Formats: sequence, structure tokens, C-alpha cells
Amino acid sequence: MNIQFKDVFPNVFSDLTLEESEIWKNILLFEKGRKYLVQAESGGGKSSLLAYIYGERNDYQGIIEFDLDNIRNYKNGKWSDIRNRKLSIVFQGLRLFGEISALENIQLKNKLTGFKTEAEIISFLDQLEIGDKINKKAGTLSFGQRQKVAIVRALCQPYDFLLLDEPFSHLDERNRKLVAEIITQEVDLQNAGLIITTLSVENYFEGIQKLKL
Amino acid sequence: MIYKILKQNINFSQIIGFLLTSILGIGILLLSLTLFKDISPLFNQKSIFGNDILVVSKKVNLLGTLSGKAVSISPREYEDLKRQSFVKDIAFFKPVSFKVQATLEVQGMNGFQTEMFLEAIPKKFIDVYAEDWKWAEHSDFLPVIIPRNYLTLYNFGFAQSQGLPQVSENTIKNVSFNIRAYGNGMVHNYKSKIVGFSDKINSILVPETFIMYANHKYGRGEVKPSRVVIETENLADPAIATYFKGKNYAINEDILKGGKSSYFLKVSIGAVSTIGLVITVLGLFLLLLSFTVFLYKSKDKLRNLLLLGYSYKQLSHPFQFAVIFLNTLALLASVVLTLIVRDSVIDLLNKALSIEASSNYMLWILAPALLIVICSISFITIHISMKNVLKP
Repeated sequence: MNIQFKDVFPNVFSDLTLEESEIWKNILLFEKGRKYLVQAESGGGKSSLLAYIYGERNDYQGIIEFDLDNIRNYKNGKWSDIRNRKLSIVFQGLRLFGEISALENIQLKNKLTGFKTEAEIISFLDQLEIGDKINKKAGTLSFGQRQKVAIVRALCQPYDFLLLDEPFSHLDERNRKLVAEIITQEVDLQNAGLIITTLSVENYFEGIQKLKL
Repeated sequence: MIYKILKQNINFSQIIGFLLTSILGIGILLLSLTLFKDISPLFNQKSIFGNDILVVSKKVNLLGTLSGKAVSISPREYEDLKRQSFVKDIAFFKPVSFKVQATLEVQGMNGFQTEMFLEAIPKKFIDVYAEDWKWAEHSDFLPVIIPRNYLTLYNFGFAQSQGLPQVSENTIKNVSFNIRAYGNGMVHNYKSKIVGFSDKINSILVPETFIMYANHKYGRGEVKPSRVVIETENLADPAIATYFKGKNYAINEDILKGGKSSYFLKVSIGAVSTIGLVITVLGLFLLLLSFTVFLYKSKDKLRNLLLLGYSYKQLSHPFQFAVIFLNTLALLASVVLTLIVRDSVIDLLNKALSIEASSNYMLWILAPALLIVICSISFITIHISMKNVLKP
């Protein structure tokens, strides 16, 4: 699945010219198998961009197409299907459930897709150095640890695109590299596309196309 | 897992409130409806030979007595009666317009003799089945039906006080006597027997064909009728009492009283059913309100689950399951409650009105039907609330 943007921009930006943006009010194709780094300052619409693609919001002008199919017409059932098989996301706010454990949060997704075994999930958590936290309630973990849990949860499904909304914001340099390594490995394994938004200009992925929002 | 996430938003006191209200409401509803079924024989008491019979006459007043004018029912009054909703069929009493004498022969001699009068009504109004209830011209046998209370009066009044033997219905039926009709210079003797006893018609009846024939032959033709007989489907029909109230008619109040009390019972049970229904609806409303509040309280969590890929259907399942579980629980408790309370109520009714419990099939049909209706309403409400809550 490829994602086509045609003159898309958020409703709130309708008064702005957005001349410098490579995404808003432009024709742009996100291709499966390629990686994109969307860099912008705060308030540039990074989260909006991913929310539009993920069907969470539709307060935009223009057309977004999945394989030439306008997503504005998609019904709830279609979106459920897409969120199980085509698109996976790590929200900026993570959207974890604080009252259940880290592992249960991940299983909440994995039980829906049956994509990974529990052993694989635990292995991911071990690699990310939070293997000892699997039975801790997510609400008790630090934001950085929760970011790692949310990333592992996002990997527990088949997808054509993995959307990451500032996934490294609370991670140190070493952990960023650790996480980027696992993400690259998983995305490449599925031959999926990657769209990652970030405030900084630092990059942890090879061959990534940088886009200015 | 979804339950674990949403658990802390559940308000258990609301659920207990719903359960108690529902058990009470559904219990009252089921109880009143099954009791309604139990006492329904009271409302539809019919004589063995069809519908209920009501005899209506004009009231006799002092003025009428002094003036010597017989009270009669005018054709207009007859037509008005005929139009009433409770009147299924109506007919005039046809009295004889000639002299009648009854003679009881004892050993070939005239032992007992009395003047009397006869009346006729169409056969369908008579609450007695008698095979030889017919008379044709030139027939010498004239069957007679008398009110059963005449016999009672004789047996327990006259016979006892005068030292005469009491007689059974069958004995009386075997006694032959003569009826002499005379007038217009003619006389004729008919052999006669009592062929039946009526509980509802307070008159000495002979077949209608006889009266029509004999009135012309011996009498002054048709006489102005003063009584009508009415066939009605249900004596408990409140329209009957309403119609006759304040009108110058005399009716058998006793017959209507039974009707009135069963009508009262019917209204009471109807009122109780309504209260039960109202409580049930309120209970359901409480449940749905609790669910809606719960959905709004869980809005963020539900939205997160939706974004995680859960479908509306999957998210609705726990709620639907909860609705079915809670309502089934409430319904089972109500059925048990109904069975227990009904037993004691039927006991009371049995003593007072000789009412037996009818079968429970009504309960077995009503309870699941109610569950289906309640669950369907709940499902629709949950579906709508869920859509509203999860709207992007």
C-alpha cells in the first residue's frame, strides 16, 4: 500500500501560505518499503499528519489516498481492518493503559492480530532492557520505559507503514540507537514503509528521506 | 483484558440499584400478568349454553300502580337498547293475552287449580337445555320451564312450613298437569310438564310458537311487552352498569354485582401491571443511563482501544454481555419472586373466590419475551451511545 497526499493541509492552516513545507499543500507519495523522517518545530502539524494518515482525525483539506482510494470515505469497520493489517502507530502520548501490566498492554494488541509469540515479545523487551518490567503496571513505568513498551506493541502486527510520532523524545542517545535498530530490523523484515516525526534533526535510520513540514 | 481496563469505571452501586429496581419492576409485572390470567375465568363466566343473559324491565312506580297503566318498553327504547355495545342480541318477552289455568289432576280428579300466566322468549336466550322444548300447532303437549327459585321457595318455604313433602327436580319433571287456555269464547286443554328450571329467567316460559298462536286464537293479539331479554358477552362489561344507571329500568343487580367485582379486580390488576411496567421501564432506564455514563467515563480508554484496532463490535461485546447477564439475573430473580408470591396470593384468592392457579406457561412465555425486548432496547442504546462516544 502506498500513501498519496494531494494538496493536504490542516484546516487550521488554511490562512497560511505554507510555502516551505514539502508536505502540506503538495503532491507527495509515501512509498511502501521506504523511510521518511518528517522534521518540524512544535506546532508544525507533525501529530496531525500521522493522525490524518491513521484515520484518527479528518480536519484537513485536500485528499489522502491509500492506493488511489480516498480515505475520507472509510467507515469504522474499514479503519479497524487497516489498523490491524496495514498501519501501525506509536502515538506521541503513547495511549497505554496504566492499570494493566506492560506485557498485558502489548498483548492487548497482539491478541487482536496474533502476530508475535509471547517469547518474541519478551525477547523484544529484553533487547530494550525492560525485560524485568513486563509485569509492572504501565502506569508505574517512566515515560522512556513506556515509550519502549508502546514501540514493542506497535511491532505486534503486520503493517505496510509504521508511523512513529516523536518516539525518542524521552530516550537517551544509547537507547535511541537500541530502539532504532529493532525498528529498522522489523520494518525491513516486513518490507514496510516508515514515517517518523521528530523535533530534532538527528537521524538514527539509514537511507531515510527527510521531509520538512 | 478489556474488562480489566474498564473495571475501575464501573459503579457497582448503580448496578445493584438497577438489579433491585428491575427485580421489583419485572416481578410486579410478571405477577400481575400471571394473576390476571389466573382470575380471567371470573371475567368470562358464561353460562353453559352460551353468553350471559340479562333481563331488563321498566321500574314500576306508584303513579303507574294508581293509574292502572301497565309499564311497557317503547319501540324507541327498544331500539336504543339494541344499539348498546354490550347487547349481542335482544328480544321482547311475549306474555299471554288470555286467561290461563293450571290444573293438577289427582286420581282423575281436579286436585289443584290455579290461575297463572305464561311468557315466551326465543329459544336461544333460554339457559336450559330441554329436548322437548317445542310446540307446533295441534300439539297437545305444552312444555314449561319455571325459575329454579320457585322450586326452592316451595321446598324450603312452603313445604317445610305446611308439613308438605319436599320434591326433587326430577320428581317435579315427572308430574303431569293440565294447562287450560281460554278466551274469545274458546277453551283448550293442554297436557303439560315442567321440562327445566331456569336460573336466569324469572318467568314461567312456554315455547314462543305457542304464545304467538294462542294469543291470536284466545287473546287480544300482541300485548305491549314490558320486559326484554338481552344476551351479552360479558356481564363484567362496565358499559352495562353505566347505561342502566339513572335510567328507569330494573335489572337483576345481583348478576351485575359479580360483574362489577370482577371488573374492579380487573382494574386493580391492570393498575398493578402498569405500576410494574413503569418500574421496569425506570429500572431499564437506570441501567441504560448507568451504561451511558460509564461509556462517557470510559471514553478515552474506549477511544484508545478503537485506535489500537478494536472494532465497534468488539468494544460493544462486553457491554452486551453485561446487559444480557444483568437482565437474565434480574429476570430469574423476578420469576422466583413471582412464583413465591403468586402461590400465597392464589391461596387467598382460592379461599375468597375459589380460583385455582392456572398453568405457568404464561410466565414461561412472558419472561423470555421480556428479556428479548429489554436486551434489544439495551443493545440499540449501547450502539447509539458507543457511536456518539467514539465519534472522531
